[in-house]
Amino acid sequence: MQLYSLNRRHFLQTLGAVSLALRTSLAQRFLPSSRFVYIGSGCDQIHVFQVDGRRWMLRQIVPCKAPASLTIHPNRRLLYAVNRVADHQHLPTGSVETFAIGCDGRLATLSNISLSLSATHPGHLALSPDGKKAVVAIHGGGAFNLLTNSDNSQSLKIAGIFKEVGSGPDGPHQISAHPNMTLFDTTHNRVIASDTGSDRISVFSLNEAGFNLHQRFTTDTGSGPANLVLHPKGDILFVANRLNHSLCSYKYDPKCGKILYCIQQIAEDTGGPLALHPSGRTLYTTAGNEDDVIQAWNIDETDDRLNRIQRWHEQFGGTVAMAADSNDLFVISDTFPGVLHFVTAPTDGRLQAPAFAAEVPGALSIATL
Amino acid sequence: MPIIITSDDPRYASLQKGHNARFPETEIDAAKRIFLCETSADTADALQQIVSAGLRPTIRSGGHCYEDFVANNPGGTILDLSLLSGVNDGRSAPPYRIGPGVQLWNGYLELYKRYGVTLPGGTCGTVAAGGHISGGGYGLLSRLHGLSSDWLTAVEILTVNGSGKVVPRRADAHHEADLFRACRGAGGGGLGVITSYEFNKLPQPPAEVIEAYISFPWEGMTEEKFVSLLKTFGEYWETRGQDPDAWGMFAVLVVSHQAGGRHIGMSVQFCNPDGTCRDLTVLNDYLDRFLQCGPPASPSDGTGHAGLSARKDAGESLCSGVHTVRRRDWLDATGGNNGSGSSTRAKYKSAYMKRGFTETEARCIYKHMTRTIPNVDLRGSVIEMDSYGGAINHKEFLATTSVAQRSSVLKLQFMTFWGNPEDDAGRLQWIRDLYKDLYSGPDSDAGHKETPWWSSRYEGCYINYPDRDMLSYTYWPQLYYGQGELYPFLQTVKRKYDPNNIFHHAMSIRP
Repeated sequence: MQLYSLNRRHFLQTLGAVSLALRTSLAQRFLPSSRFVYIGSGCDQIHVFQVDGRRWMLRQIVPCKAPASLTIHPNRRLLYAVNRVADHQHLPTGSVETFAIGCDGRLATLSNISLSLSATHPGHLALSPDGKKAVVAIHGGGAFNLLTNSDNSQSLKIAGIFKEVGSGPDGPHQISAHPNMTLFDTTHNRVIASDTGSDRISVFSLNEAGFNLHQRFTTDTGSGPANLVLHPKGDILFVANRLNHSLCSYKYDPKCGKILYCIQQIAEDTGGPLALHPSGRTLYTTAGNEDDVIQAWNIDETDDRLNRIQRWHEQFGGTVAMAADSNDLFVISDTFPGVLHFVTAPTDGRLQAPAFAAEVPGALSIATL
Repeated sequence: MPIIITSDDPRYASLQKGHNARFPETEIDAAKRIFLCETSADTADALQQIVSAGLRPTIRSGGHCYEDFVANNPGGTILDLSLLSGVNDGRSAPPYRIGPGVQLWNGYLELYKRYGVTLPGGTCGTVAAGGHISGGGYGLLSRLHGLSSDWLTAVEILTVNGSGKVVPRRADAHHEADLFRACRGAGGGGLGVITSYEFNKLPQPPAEVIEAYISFPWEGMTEEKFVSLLKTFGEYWETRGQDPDAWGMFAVLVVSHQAGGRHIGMSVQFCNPDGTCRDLTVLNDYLDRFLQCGPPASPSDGTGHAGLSARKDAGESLCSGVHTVRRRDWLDATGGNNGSGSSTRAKYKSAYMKRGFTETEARCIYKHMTRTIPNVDLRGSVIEMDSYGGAINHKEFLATTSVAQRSSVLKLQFMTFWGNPEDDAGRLQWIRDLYKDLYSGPDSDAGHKETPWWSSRYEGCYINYPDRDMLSYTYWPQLYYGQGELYPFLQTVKRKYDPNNIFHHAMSIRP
């Protein structure tokens, strides 16, 4: 196992390098091989970056209120931003903003729809693989909203509301239900949902009229299940528990839509955001603390258990989101002002030393195209 | 078990909407089902089903909510309490127990016939007790006896705890007193489901009342005459009308838009503080003040205020000074005053006034009540100006109820009624323009223009006349609940008794 640390000097050096890169980036020309990364910022903006290898070029900053979650439509032409606000159009609710993605990666605002009444501080949006259904986890208002664009139009409509109840022993954090995240299982008709406030993972089936509760699975008391990742095969659910800083993996039966049993529980510097290497062989975890730890875990193909292969100690931590694709892992945090870019080994998903890729104050969310 | 009405039931079309035909705004906004409950146990069972299914309940007693708080509930469930309509349900009294579905007129009848008491409640007879009492509730006898919620001594209420379990509670001044206070005027549908209202005492109604009516025709009504009329009306209620010997008198000045009304009418109901009509000095003094503005009082031709119309053919006609008035049994008068109007599209606004009208205010009202807007029919647009104060303004209720307005002498209700959805925009424009203009004058607070912000002249708005337009002002809760400790207190109660914010609507207490 390798241990690494991103120290202050390294951080400042990379920060300086990135600032220079940013200053020169506006002069860069768009390259056909480029990809785009969208970073939501607590400064009520989305920063659009063109990324070529390790070179990040800021292409656009668009206004967007508290973009807590960014999700790209499978058609790659739309981006949804969940606005983590308590008030929209003078009503107590959050909203979802839709942007068109131009061929140069730039965003253009299309619409901003209100969520259901009392759906305050929504935190996450999951989109079905066909792009026709979206489920929003509403942390503050304790609810889920089903949004649809079944006619493939660009505007979403509320098709269902599920009002949650529940509480837990951790007073400040568990006075009421706090849905945190949802993801679609491999059937594409069910969502798995975490609720930090009530120590519960729920499975809902979806229909045109809304939600049907399929399963309630209770996690450890006071654990605060928050972040979720489903293995590409669809049968292992990884759950990061925010309140007791643990990680659990569960056997999930996609045919029945049921969590069956706990495979493994790890209580070492976990509980923050998760990311999975597309190969399904490596899971990346964070502690989500200020003094953060990023870890890479091999997922054993025979028994589904996790074996740690790498551990980064990261002084400027507080990871709030991660995104992984075939060669890269992007980490954003609420204490260092930007994006860490790790290159991952294609064979086993190990991380190489990161670069401070871009400066984004108050980063909240990330999506890659 | 509750009766469950779904969209395939022929009753659904009628029951999914309320008295204000504007709501639900669209088919998508409508509740999917209505649970009709007949008992408290039914209600608890229904509420548990709704909460466990992840649905949003909205609570209805009489269906007279001015805004969309009940009928706009997309995919949710209306918990209809209109069949919880018993008074004491065979139990002895006192205490007097009133179900939330008791329509006010039925409540008056039963309380009077069985026990010889009444609720000092409103004039719209089909408004039900649930919404009326939980939002404060006032009417013709409130200047004499206070608000309906001032008499409340306990409620039976269903709340939902953190884990989603329905909890039946009985709240009074000694048990869960915080919840009890919040049920005394903060507004309905935001904390739980009240299934019974209890009163240890209720006032005796007067044996008889005097009714009078003065009509001020629009024809020949100059701006100067209009100003004089409003100033005369306001000045009385600011001064002489607050003396205890005048508390038995209630008056409403109904200013109809010139387009729809041939006249402005003032209806009066009077009794002495002891409930008799032996001494009419106060009434005569009041009516005499309007001789300069119009003809002497006379019985109405029936076109006066829907809730207070001294008809020519009702009661005994008598001369009171130069005025011709009617003496009527209180029950008869109350029965004749219980119209609620038909279900139409409507928009309402409100304001409490601590003083009479200034000249600027009166001129502003004249401007808007004579205004024409191209292609907008403004018939059915009215400002009702109710006398207020008297017993309502006992300051001790500030600490024990959730009604913060205890210094007002007038209460204004701005209303416009229409039928066609196509007229929505014009109607809303008219009433919004009027309200903003009226409360942007020299007497309005510089930091709170367009609203009757608390000042030496105004005391905000009435939560039972809710107005979603007020949400555009960040300080809307203070308009309804004042600037003191009341709103923070209500938020604490909300978090304690409804931790998951199950009971919410556009203007419910924010957690």
